[in-house]
Amino acid sequence: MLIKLLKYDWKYSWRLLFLLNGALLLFSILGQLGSHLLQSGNYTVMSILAGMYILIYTLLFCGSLITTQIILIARYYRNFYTDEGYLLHTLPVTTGQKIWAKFINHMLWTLINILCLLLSILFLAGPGEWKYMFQLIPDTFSAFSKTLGIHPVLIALGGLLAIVLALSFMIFSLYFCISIGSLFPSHKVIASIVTYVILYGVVQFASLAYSIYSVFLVDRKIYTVNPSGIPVDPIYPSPAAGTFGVIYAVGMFLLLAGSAAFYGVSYYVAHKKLNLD
Amino acid sequence: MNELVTCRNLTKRYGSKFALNNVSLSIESGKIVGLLGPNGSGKTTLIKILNQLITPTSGEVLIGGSPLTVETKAKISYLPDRMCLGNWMHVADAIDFFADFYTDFDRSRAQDMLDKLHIRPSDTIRAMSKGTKEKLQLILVMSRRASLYCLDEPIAGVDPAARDYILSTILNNYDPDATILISTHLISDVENILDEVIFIREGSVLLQSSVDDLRIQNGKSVDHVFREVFKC
Repeated sequence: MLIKLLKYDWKYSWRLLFLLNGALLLFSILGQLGSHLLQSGNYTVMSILAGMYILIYTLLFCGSLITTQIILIARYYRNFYTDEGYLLHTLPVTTGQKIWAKFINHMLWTLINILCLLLSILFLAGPGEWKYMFQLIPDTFSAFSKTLGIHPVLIALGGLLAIVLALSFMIFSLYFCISIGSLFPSHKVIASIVTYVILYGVVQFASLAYSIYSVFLVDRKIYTVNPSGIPVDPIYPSPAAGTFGVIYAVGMFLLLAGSAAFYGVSYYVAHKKLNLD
Repeated sequence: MNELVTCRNLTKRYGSKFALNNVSLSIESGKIVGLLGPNGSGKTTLIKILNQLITPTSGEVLIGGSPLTVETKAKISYLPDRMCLGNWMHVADAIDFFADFYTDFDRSRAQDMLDKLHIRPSDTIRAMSKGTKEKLQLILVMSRRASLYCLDEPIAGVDPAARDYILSTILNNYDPDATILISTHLISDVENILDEVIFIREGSVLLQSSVDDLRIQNGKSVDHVFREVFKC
């Protein structure tokens, strides 16, 4: 049943999101092709065109990021807590399957959206810059690797895991806010937005506090190894790596625990507190 | 006859207001039952609880002897009092959707009914008139071979010709072993098809009786009894 739910969620979202992300990619390719004209045309006209292009590209870039999320969140809200809920909640499927289908579709489209945003930057930069840009990735990993004394592959895998967990946290927190909003007798959308604003504030404050604490910990460890602050050869494993590992693990645990808590509340509300008007 | 629906001390409260107040009733298999009452009497609330769209404040509901679960959802075919199909869907999508999720959905029966109304699979729901959307939803619901059909106000706000179509669709497509629970306040239109009636007012069941018994006891049609009982 989860696959069937996913099928209809995908069927609903793909056209609009494909168009949105496709438009961004197409526009970035057009920009790259157009940039050659800029070099040979009238300077004033081309400057105006370039300015307009940058404005539209920025709007498309930000628009695709925000619109993708709005479409997927609205889908969750409409399917669960409006008239469309009369169809979804009478299907012979479990509450967990309903939430997971929405989550998987949301996660997939968010990842596709991020990929399209990165590709659009690549297309816009043009093949001449690709070599430099691709070199930037291993260089960054290498720098991290030298500082922390951790293998670059581990850093890459850890980074991927962090992205997935952070996105899960974000998606489930949105579902949580919608679920809390649905408990209000009226103005459910406003209640959801207010819940989100409060939650956002709390999460930002907690993240900041944890970041300050983490920086203090790492800094102290690095200085313990190398008081002069001058980079030394990687040490496998270095005390800094150990500290970083703890910070990373705690961070991932917090993201996972937060996601689980948000899922739990969303599940409870949809399963035990459902009251469709 | 087997007891298909059992409600015991069912209460739904919104703050201090009771939408349902200690309702106990049972409905047997193979009957067409009218859930009759004025607007705001609790008909829709009861039907929504049976379909797990509302969580009762207290009390118990059993379908075929089992508490409400995913399995009981598979036994109930529900026609809500509003459009619940996504506007983005084509008719073919809606048929696929029902066929995918309900093993008792009869695709060919649905297609036959749609053909008679000249509704094409490629039609989008967004472009349909309100009446056509309602008919599509009814066709989908009645194309299932369910044990219980819960039809919430199926003839409210439609013209007499459409009412006839809706009632004939219901009668021609339900399984005789199944039960139909129709909520309405338009008694005269449904009276002739009902086996049993439940009168509900302000969240409480006033009476539950077979239509024949009610007529014999009162010497009047159900519509007249309803008008007397619910006189303002």
